[in-house]
Amino acid sequence: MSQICATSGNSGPKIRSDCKITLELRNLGGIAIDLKSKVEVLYGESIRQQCIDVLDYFGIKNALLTIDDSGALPFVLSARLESAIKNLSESEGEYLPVMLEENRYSTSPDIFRFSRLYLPGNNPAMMINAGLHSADGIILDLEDSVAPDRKDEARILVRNALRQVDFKGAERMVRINQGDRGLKDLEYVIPHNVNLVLIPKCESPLTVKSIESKIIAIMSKCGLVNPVHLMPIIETALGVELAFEIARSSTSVVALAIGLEDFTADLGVPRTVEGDESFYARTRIINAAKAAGIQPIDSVFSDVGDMEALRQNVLSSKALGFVGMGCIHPRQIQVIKNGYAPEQEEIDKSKKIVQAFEDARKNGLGVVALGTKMIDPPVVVRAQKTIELAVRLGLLSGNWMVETPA
Amino acid sequence: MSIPSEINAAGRAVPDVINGIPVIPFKGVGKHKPSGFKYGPRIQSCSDYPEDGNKVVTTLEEALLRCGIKDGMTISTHHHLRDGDLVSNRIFEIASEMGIKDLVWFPSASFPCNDPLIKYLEDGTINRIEGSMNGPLGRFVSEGRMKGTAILRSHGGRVQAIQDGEVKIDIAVLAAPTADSFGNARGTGGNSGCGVLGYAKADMMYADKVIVVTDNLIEMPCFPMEIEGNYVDYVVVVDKIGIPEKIVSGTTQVTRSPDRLLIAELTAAFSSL
Repeated sequence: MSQICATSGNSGPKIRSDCKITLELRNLGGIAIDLKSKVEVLYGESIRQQCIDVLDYFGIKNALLTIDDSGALPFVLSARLESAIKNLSESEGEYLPVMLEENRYSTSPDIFRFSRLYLPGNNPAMMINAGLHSADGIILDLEDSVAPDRKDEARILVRNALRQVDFKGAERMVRINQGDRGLKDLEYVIPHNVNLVLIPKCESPLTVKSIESKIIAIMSKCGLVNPVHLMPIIETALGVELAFEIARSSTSVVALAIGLEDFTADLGVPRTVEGDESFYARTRIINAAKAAGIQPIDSVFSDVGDMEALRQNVLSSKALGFVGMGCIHPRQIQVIKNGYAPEQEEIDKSKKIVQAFEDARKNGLGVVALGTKMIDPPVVVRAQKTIELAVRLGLLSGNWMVETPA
Repeated sequence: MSIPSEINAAGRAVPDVINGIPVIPFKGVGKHKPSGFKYGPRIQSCSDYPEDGNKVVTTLEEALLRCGIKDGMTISTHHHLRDGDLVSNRIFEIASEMGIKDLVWFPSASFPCNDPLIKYLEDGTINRIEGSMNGPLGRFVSEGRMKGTAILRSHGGRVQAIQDGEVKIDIAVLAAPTADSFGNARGTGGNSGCGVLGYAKADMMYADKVIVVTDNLIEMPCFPMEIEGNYVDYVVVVDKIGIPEKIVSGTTQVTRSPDRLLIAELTAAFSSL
């Protein structure tokens, strides 16, 4: 079966920053380009030239290319065209856009992961300005937010986005697919400086190991040095049972997340706001993560209209021990960040406790007292962690103890 | 009779005299260098208003009379109340009742709510409109039924015409959602908040007389202020300057896009500095 015509991308009245490509291979006649674009006057020539360059790269000499453009940036255009070409021919080549220098950063294993913004991997419009909303991390998603018949083209789009979109310092994450498709996804994204890979519906430490091995192989082949962290997402009952094993399956695992929509579906119960049905799973994940020395991350909050409910959700999530959650809308980011950051009252209280601890230590006293209250060692440890978090967040100066008058 | 014309820099044939007034065909971007001095309005005196700075008069009619409204004057308004504006039509209603003729209306833009002005164009109260004209008003003018020549300028072009004295405003009537008795005013607050009053700034500075019309008079000082009371001659308090539901209209809509909301938040924070 030889196919001579392929389409990729999207067009329509509500589509922005994307294009729909129809490519028909021919036997002769050269390259004919039929472009329909709102920006024809300003960019028509450069769009056509780029298409010619891409076709030439893949050795295509005779074709009819129809483009219905709604403002696609060059990295989107070339991704869509490459997808169409790869639907028609078995090419191993990759038409890579230039990698922005500002996209070469790495992230440390324990950076703040309060908020991570999910970006559907086949929707260029949402990727372009995602960095402006100051999420701690952005997730280019190849899994559940991409329709099955679009997963191939999403890979190429995400690859190009990793090179060309400036995410303004947010942690660059990709959620790969399950199974073999996921392993193949890694070939498309790891060479382009992904900081963290999310492993969906993780149910076994072996899954983590196989993904890790593949990543190491790709890094070695490409000579990459920046570390690639792993965040398995627990979304099933079996995953919950194996939470600790998964959490400590590799030194690359930096966080453990929970996916409550799929988990409650696995249990066969509705997901409620109170979350009684997932209480065990959530606390189990928190416990496993803490035991393994990694960050426990909460699920997304689906009601994007209710900011007050989100705020309550964040506060109770933090109270349980989670240190971050997923976002599905930029408007959630600030609420989430404010929620997980320590409150001023908490910081002030912690300062008093740590100060009392220091004073006791200096005076050679074994017992720490604040007023008439005795402060147990675990209370001091907790206060110190709050201080550390506050200092790292810039809510407290590192020299606060020196600056505070005796 | 053939109209003399030349080809302008955009490749269009245009006349260099329109209805007896010489005009300058477009020479290209950055090619026309104006010379001369900026225009200056008439000197006013603080002895023209009470010592306590209270410039409030009872009606718009009285304010216009005290400004010496007469035939042939240029009256300007801003369009920040968009399709919910209740002030600009009232000016010409009053003028018509007084029997004033041949006024020039110089708005920063007009809206469907200004369609009733057609009758003042027909009865000669208004000689011409120098500003945008759409819908029925536009049709009326396109059919050649307006006495004077319609002139359309860009927003920036309107400001340039004011500051260079190409258009001399006799009376500027500036609707303001919040104002104090000295004439300090701004675009936020009250029932008819409309945002900023940027289009009113040039009128405020260069008009011979300035009337502020508000439905929300507050204690001095109105701070922050966009209209400075130093430029204002009279303040009029009315029941309603605009219809809030219609102020958000036309191309102005409240956004739900997260990117645009971010821009709006940053802008609001910046403009309140």
